[in-house]
Amino acid sequence: MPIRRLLTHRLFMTGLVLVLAVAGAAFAADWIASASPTRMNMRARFTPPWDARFLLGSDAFGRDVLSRLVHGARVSLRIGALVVVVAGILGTLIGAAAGYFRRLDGPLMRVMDAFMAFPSILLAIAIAAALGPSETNVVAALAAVYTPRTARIVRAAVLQLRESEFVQAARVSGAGDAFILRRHILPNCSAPLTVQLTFVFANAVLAEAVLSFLGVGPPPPTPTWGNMIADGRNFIREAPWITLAPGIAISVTVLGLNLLGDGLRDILDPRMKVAQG
Amino acid sequence: MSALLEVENLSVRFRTGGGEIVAVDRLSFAAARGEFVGIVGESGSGKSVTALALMGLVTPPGRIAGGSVRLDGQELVGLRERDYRRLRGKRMAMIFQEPMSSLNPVMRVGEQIAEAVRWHEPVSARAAAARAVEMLATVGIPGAEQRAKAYPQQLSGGMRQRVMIAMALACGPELLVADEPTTALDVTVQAQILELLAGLRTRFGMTLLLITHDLGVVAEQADRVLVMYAGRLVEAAPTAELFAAPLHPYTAGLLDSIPDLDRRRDELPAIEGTVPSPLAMPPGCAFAPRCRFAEPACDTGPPPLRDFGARRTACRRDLDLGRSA
Repeated sequence: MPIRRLLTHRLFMTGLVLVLAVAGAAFAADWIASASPTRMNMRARFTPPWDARFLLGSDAFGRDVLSRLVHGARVSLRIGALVVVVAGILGTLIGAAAGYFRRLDGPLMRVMDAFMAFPSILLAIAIAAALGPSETNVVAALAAVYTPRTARIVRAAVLQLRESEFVQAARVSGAGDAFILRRHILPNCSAPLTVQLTFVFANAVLAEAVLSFLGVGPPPPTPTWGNMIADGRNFIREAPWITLAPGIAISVTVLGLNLLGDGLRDILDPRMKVAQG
Repeated sequence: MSALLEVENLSVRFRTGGGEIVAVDRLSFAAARGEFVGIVGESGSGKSVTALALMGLVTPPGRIAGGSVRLDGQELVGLRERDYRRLRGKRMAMIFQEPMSSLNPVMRVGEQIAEAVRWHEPVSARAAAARAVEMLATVGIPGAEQRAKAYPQQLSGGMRQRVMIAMALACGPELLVADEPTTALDVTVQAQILELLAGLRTRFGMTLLLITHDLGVVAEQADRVLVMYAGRLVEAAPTAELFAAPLHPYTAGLLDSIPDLDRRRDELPAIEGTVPSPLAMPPGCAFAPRCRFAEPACDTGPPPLRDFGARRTACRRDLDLGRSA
């Protein structure tokens, strides 16, 4: 049973705990931090951590770092999840069409190759900058970056499944293309797709932070981990907590998602199996 | 008996890097309603390609280069995919060699059978599920009700082949093409599956076209045997006559290489040489380079099929190959 094997996979469980912790913090943001993430208090600027009012200190405008951190987690995870949904759907549709219908393969995959020819972060910056800073545009930019990668994975799986005997068997029983794709091919792509989308999630969270840091993410005063680091970097010597908190949050989230993805790949994809520590 | 399946001059070609090869070369045969016909040949003889061509599943780089396939008088070559789809599963069905991979690992076997039913008949999901259970019982699966809920990997190879047969027969096809249905199974299970197929053919009155590389598989039950070599039909005869007195040296060679329990032999006779490469076919009889009886005339163009009563052979020579057993 794959589920039992996942539960005993140490790295997977570590990743799961980390991701659930971040997700839990995002979910309970209002309860964890009663202060508003955007309320300024000029008399309490640069309060160091472990203060009675500011557990993780306050920033250059006297805003509560903990509150901004947990509300930023909401933004990061929401954008990551939306990118997974959009890239997952588009990538699956494009990859399945390219893999199944020979005639579409060339045109579709060449367009995907064109997208992948650009360094991913550069492409995301270009699209986000062109569209203007907003949460929706960040999602659009990141979906454009990760759709081709997902499409490629799905196409490879479909190419292999299309020649499988059970697809041939369905065909001799009179099944049509749409049915074969929906019931026989796509469900069998779910393993590589799940693994891929976990990594897309991790990369999207990281890329969102980069975009926010560079000022093309969701506009201020929306708290995001990227713009928290950007705000804090001028005071990194005097008030390191402003940058450290979101920095650690990004690391933990991405590490957790990557462990999760590695674990899933170990269990779901026997070809990639490596000795487990 | 009227012919259910008529194949005439069927040619299938495949484009390859080294040029177009002829996988099936002007194959003609007919199968009557309810008849059990065995097609025998070694790897590369074109027998599997013939099966796919009958089902309309030859895809690029392959193509049907000519000829005709008629099911109950209806021409199938050139039929639109939509119309072909209505025939597949309903009037003609096929089972494959590898029961391990012929079932979708993420669907319960009952669902897979029920689906095949619903493509062709306007029945409710519940009625289709009931039919699936009934079919599983028909093919001799004990506890069909529970087995219908199993996933393929929970069943043994023989069971899976039974499931495949149940799926193929769910809509009561008139023609069943079985491509090496027992090759992947162990010997005792092979016998059971053959028994089952032969029994079901009588019970449902369907035509069974069994493709195999093993003459032993068709020896007991088939009405007639077609022997293919390098894409061509070399001999066709009622089973008993073929085994008693083959007309073609290739058939004789195949028969000689079957181990015989009654006679002690230190070494099994084998046919010398190998099947010619499809890219370098001999100019005349494809078997001539390996044939003990070949003479210069054998290399002058493909030999015509000659009729001898109910039998046909593609050998130019009148040989007495009666077995001296």
